[in-house]
Amino acid sequence: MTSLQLLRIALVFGLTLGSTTLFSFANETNDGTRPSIDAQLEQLKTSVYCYCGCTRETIQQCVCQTARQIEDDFRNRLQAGSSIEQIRNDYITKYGTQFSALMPPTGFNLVAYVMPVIIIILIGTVVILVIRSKMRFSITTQPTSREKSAGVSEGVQEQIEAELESLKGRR
Amino acid sequence: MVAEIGHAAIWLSVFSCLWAIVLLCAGLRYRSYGAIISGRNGVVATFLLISLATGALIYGFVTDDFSMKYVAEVSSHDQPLMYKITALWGRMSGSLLFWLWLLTLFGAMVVWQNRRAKDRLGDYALVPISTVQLFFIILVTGLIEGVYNPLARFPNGATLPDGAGMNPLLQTPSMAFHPPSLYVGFVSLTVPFAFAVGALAAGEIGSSWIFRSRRWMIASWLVLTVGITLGGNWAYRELGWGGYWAWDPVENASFMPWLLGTAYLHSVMIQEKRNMLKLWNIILITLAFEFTLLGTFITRSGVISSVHAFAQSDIGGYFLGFIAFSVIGVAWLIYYRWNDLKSPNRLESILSRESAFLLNNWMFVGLTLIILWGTLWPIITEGVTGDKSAVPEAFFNKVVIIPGLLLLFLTGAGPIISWKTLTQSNFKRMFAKPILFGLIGGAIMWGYLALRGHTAPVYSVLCTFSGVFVFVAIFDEFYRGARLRAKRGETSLFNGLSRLIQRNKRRYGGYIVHIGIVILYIGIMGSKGYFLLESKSLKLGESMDVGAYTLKMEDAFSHRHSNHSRGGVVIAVEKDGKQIGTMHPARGFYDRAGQGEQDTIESAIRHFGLNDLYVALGPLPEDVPSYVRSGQLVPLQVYHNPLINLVWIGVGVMMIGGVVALAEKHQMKEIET
Repeated sequence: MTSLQLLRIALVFGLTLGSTTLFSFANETNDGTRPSIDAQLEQLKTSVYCYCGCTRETIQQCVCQTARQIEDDFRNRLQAGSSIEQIRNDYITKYGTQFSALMPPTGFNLVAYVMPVIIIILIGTVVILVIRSKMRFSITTQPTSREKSAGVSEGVQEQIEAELESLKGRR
Repeated sequence: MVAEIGHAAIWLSVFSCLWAIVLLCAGLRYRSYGAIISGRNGVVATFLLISLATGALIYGFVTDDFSMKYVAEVSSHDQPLMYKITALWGRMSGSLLFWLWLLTLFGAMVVWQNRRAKDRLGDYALVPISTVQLFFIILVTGLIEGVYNPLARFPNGATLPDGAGMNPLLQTPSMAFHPPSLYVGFVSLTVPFAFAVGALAAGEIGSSWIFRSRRWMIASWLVLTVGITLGGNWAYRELGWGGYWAWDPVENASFMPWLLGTAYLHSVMIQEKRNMLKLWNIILITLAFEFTLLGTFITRSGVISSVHAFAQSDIGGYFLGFIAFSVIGVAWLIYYRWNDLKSPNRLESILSRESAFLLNNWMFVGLTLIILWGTLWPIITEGVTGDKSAVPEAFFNKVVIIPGLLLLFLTGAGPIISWKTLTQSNFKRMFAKPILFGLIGGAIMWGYLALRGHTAPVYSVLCTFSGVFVFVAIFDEFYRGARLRAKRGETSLFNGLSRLIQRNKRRYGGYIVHIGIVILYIGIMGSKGYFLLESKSLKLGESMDVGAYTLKMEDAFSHRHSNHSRGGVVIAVEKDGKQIGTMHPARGFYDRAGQGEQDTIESAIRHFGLNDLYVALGPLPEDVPSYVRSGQLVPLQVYHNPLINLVWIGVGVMMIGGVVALAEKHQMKEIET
């Protein structure tokens, strides 16, 4: 197998990994109907962290008094007609971007999502180059009979070991 | 007086450690056995002195000596004795001393283990061990700004009437054992690293350093696994959010060395069997060691906010500096021994166990760097955009799932693919059945989830396919080997299995670990992917439904303990109209809380087979019974966590496998060329 073929394999593999990862980031389709207040509230509660000091716990997860007050405030605002985005943006503006529990793959955040794919491809390239440098390049396309027998399966190996043991016992 | 003795012991250990380094280097350079013996004695003396210092600090805790600053910060009169002792690692100064003590203990153990060795490899390893010790000794002397000597007293002989007490969140059995097990895991990684550095320095680049440090590495991996799991278990029981892993920066800091250590454990097999990847193994163990220091930098410097944010200081720069120093040192040694690191052997085929291990390493190292990237992302965004950010759990879940599933598959493929080359007959014999069963398992899971209304559960199906594949592959390995031995020895299959494992504890211990990994993955799939959460406020006598269960609040209670009171409610759990148990979620109200909150969440967890019902109470006044019985609303958060107990069972099986592997006595075997 040539080095170019090996690099192609690595690239395809890395891109496959990356695209399946990015695929999982795709948003659900929106059929245009407005969800219920409860559904909107659940979405809001999972989209921001509580500022009470419990690190990285969303309003949904946090069981403190602050979280309950925030939840009541969100519910009131939803019932008054505010949208999820308005309420969320007001919360982030007031308490800071570090309280956002969402990290959509947009803007600068896209770099965060792309880098894992690049990491996998880079390391894969190194691995492929290592494999290439260590591959024995045979002149013939078919393995020699000696190389064929080199691929001894584990089961045969076990059998050989067991027979050697019994030979030792007989001595 | 005792504190002063301990303080003096720390300063004396600077000299004993320097003595050890200088004499060992001189003895190895000039082949002076007397100097080497003196150097070893220096290592042992350092251990004794640091033990004295640590003992002095523990004495201060046990005797409530609140003239000592550190004791006053993390202990109090009414703190239970067990938590007075575990307060040793409650904050940074004490935890650094504890880390140092472990390092000196392991250094002394290396001296003992290598006392009759025919070569000098153990002595070469003692030099980097002593160098790391010197770094930590300097940290605990109090010379570094931001880190005070844990044995320091208040100025002018002042004594506080009582201490601030330990953070109540830390006063739990799992938190008593979580930090020391993590520290033992981290610190013991220093030993295989030191042997690698020693091998480079000595020019003994063969496999002897791997054999000499193999048990240390397995023990380190085993204890790290326990430590990480205890941390997850603590989070599950104490933090009230129904989960056990949230990709918190400190969780990641412990996980990354574990990933690299696991990659190393697999990669060294290639060097042992085929005398290949010598350079890569040295790089891997160096990375694993450096990541333990990096983890401490992340934890202690405060660069990234975390659940461990109570332990921040200015120490980060010193850790970064030492990491840079050690990396440069190893890089220079690698350059010096470059020609010796080349392997005479070649890879026969891309379809071979060697390649499978390389792929395994690719995923482990890739995962480590991805997790590091996500952990450091808040610093990167702040630096570039000026905005602070927190990386949500969902990001990590998305980016690690594919490499994680691939690793799961390799857990089964690796053991059954042959060395050198995978032949067609080998593939048919070893792979066909596991793949077939895996496909059946995946199809069944798809059907089951579809019936329950889950559309396109791709990851769950892939996880099930890979899990069944691994299980069948490993089971076949055990069965084939046991049957052969039973037939040869004319004995039962069980005896054959026992002999099989006895014959090669490392291999079959590893297989048991792989089974544990499958169980763990299935537990994660169920508990993370399909949990239910219901939040509701109830009055006395009211009920709520969570999945197939009905929870009814029937009563309230309050109990007094030595340093806190606990108030909660009694919840009756019903299923299909029949009561199947009661749960007692509560809040803890601590008299003193140190740096933490006085009001804690004491969740109730009830196991129903492999699933858990988990109930956490919202904030309540201390007199819970009066509050509840007066008809007030009680906020409840109820989780149903399917298959979560497989997480703990899986880790338990991994530990059993690790212990079996650890039991194998190392033997240098002829390396195949």
